[in-house]
Amino acid sequence: MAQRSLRPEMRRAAKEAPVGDAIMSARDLSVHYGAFQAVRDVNLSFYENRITALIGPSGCGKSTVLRCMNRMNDLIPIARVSGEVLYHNHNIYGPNIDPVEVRRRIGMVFQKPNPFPKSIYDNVAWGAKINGYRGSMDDLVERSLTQAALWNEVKDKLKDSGLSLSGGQQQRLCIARAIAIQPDVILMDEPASALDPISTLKIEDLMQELTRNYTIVIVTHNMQQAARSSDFTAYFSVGEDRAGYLVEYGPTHEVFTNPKDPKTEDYITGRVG
Amino acid sequence: MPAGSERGQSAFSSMPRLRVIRNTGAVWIGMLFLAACAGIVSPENPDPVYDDLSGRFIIDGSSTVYPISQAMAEEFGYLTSDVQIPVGVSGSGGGFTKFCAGETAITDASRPIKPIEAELCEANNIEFIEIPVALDGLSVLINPANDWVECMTVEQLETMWEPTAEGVITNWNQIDPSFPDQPLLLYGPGTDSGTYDYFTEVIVGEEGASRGDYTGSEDDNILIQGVAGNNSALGFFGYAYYEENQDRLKLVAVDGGDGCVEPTAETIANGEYQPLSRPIFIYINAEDAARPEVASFVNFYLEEADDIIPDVGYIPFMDNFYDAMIERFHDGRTGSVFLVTDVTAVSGTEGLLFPEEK
Amino acid sequence: MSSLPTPKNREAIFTDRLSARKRRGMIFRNVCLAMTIFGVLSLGALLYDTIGSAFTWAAVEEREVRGRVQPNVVQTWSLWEGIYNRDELQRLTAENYPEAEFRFFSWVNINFLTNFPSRFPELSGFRSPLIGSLMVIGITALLSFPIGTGAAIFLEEYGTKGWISRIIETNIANLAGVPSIIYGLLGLTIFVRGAGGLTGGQTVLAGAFTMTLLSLPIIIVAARESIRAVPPSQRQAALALGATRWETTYSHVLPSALPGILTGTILAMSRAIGETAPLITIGALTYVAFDPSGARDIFTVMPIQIFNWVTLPQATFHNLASAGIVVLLSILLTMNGIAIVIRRKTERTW
Repeated sequence: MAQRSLRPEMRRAAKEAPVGDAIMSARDLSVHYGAFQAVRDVNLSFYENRITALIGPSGCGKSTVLRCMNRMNDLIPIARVSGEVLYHNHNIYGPNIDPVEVRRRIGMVFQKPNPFPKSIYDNVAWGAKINGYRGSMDDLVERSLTQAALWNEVKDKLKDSGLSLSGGQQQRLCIARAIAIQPDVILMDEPASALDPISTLKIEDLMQELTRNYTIVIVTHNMQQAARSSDFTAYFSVGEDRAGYLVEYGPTHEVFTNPKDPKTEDYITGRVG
Repeated sequence: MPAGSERGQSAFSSMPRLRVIRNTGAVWIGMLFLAACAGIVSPENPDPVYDDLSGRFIIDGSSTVYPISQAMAEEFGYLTSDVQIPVGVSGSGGGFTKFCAGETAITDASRPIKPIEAELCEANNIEFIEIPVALDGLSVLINPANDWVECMTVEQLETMWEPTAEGVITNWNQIDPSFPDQPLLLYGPGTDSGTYDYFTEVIVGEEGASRGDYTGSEDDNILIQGVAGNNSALGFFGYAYYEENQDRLKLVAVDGGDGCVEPTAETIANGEYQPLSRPIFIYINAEDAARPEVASFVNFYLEEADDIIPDVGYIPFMDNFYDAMIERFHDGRTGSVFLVTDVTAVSGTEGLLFPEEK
Repeated sequence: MSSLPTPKNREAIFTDRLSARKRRGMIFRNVCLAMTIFGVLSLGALLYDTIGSAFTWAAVEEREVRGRVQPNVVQTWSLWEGIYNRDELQRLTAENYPEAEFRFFSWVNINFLTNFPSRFPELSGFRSPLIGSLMVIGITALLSFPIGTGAAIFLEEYGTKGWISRIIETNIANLAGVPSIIYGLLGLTIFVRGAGGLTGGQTVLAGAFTMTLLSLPIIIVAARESIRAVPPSQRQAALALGATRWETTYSHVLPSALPGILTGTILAMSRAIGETAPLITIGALTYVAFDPSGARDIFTVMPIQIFNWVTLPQATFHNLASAGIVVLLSILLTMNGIAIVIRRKTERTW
């Protein structure tokens, strides 16, 4: 299994530092779309300031699980979620929890870049504005774009439309937009799959930087990306009942070099997938 | 426009002795003014002071009478500065509905008020004054290429239009064997119009009774196109429409029992053209008639009838008839002649007067 | 026959029939072209007729009206007729109307726009119908746009997808096809008689409310389509930032749907400006010789006056009707133009 070596400054102290508490975890999480069960009994944890990758073949429920984390599945009328998702030990599916508050703390970046048809500045500022940001908006925009590694490319054209950027830049704009509201967790649903290789690398480097302040959960089709970028990996597969389930979960290093489940090994070595 | 006092002031104001005369004159004129307002001046010959009038009242009803009422409202509007008289075209029936609901002050009607409408007015405590204002000669018109008809009797027209003719009488030679074998194409107003009501009443004998298979339209101009475009067509319209389209249509004389008479301004006015010479009316709300602007307007209407009515294509009555109507209005004689005498259509002006007016 | 060599794995049973397929395509294209030409020609015929009747060659005499000398048009010929046969028409004029002058006479002139209607065609103007129509349409637009948009937003963004929603949807679409006279009867009962205190009876306001009812189904249907056309990815992006439903709708969905909603509004206004029957039912009159003193005053509208002129026996009133149609069409075109400008300004691309 070839691993791209990380640049020294990118090598995180995380490899040496102890893992803290799980900032989020799923307990017996199942999802039904109407009568069809999409995901079965997932138990999973995400640790603070780490990158967790969800990998697996198509249709195994990775994106569904990801969307449960910030209650985006609420938007699908026939979706039914059972089990618990804990955020700082609060079940976000509890009876008194407002999904709007959940999404304020757990942000999302989508597979296809979807900046608003507004200016670059407004794209970043809008989320902060509606959440009542009181400080200097100009500073926030600059900080967010800098953290998203986009500032130098757009600092002279903040008034231009967000749609005038290239695909990779748009995706970084979406990341900047997400971090402008300063969430705890950023969920990324195959963020680089629609981008060219150079942009993909930029996004991966960006993710490493972001873990300084944020926790990241990423769904990816690209095994190598998971192997080289993430700290923890969860491998999903599809059962015979066509419901997705979690096969194996652990530190990336172990999952890729010493998988416990033969199915995991089959997938990693490319025998299935 | 009290022109006298103004002229007096401008010409005489400079000379001291004449100033006295001017002032006295002004006082006298002022008194006459007040006298006129107080009605001391003979009501038979009122001198309405137009400048003082103000207010608004609505006229609605028949599209046949509309041109007359609109012309009167327009001319009266030029004499006054503050009286507003909007006019609507809801049809005779629609007009009576609104009139008997108290929504209009005057209603135009191309036929007399029906008993059921009079009942409605009574139920709403509305009394009305019926005033015939003009004559319309309903003309029977054919295509100029039709050379076999010059005159038709009422009986022939009845054969042509009665309900039993539907689907049966479809050819000219069924009307008279001497006519050629040509399809009979009929054009006439729609069943909603007062014109239709009157025609069926006097020709067929029963209001609203006619065959259904003719080309009907509320717009007479369309019917004219139809008759002018078809060699064997026949239609009936108001005389005004014939007047404007004489080059495209041919007139048929009607024999009402006293020989063939063609409709002209004279024959309609003097009652020779029968039975299709019909009166058209306005009905005035008796309560509104007490308002000075309404009273002034109706007086104006009847006085200017001679001048304005021919302009819009109808036939005015003889002068003495209008005098009788002015008197009827001043006396406030409410009710309809047609309800009293129980006749629903008349020819000649005799039938338009109350017994005591004759 | 193809000019390229046959692929060697092609089975012999493929019958390409390429030329037949192409011919069919050509026929289809020509049928579509014929439809387009038909539409253009019909429109052209309408414009040809109307313009020829509103801008005429006329034999003009003079007469005295209320103490002043006014033109008196005794005969008119259409614009097109006079272009080719000017001399012929001049001769006819001299022959039949020796007192008359033969000249170009446009029925659309400044007097037409400022005078009130009259029994004399040459003095007749369009003032009260024009003002009445503009007032009614103005108020209707101001009312129907927010109500229609609001209803569409509610139905699309906040509505459930259950059977109630489907019933509402079907009924709104059907309402768009209800004959306008029904709205007139409804308006008479509710706005003239029922809410007479608010509207003042048979007034501009009652007319505008009635026209709003008429326009709402069209606007709601168009607005819903536009709102649906906004990609879900935009909504999801906004919601993922911790925005409420309303914030998402207001900041993202509505601005993107605006061009479509405007188109629907303009379509509805174009229909409303030509409506005659419902306004007559609620009491719009025909001859009004004063400017309405406000929205709670009596009025008339352009189609009513045009229809009235068309039914009068004197031929010159028909020319006036054409002039009225020219004015009506101009206003329609202006309204559409304004909508297109607003559309351009607010349009966004994905």
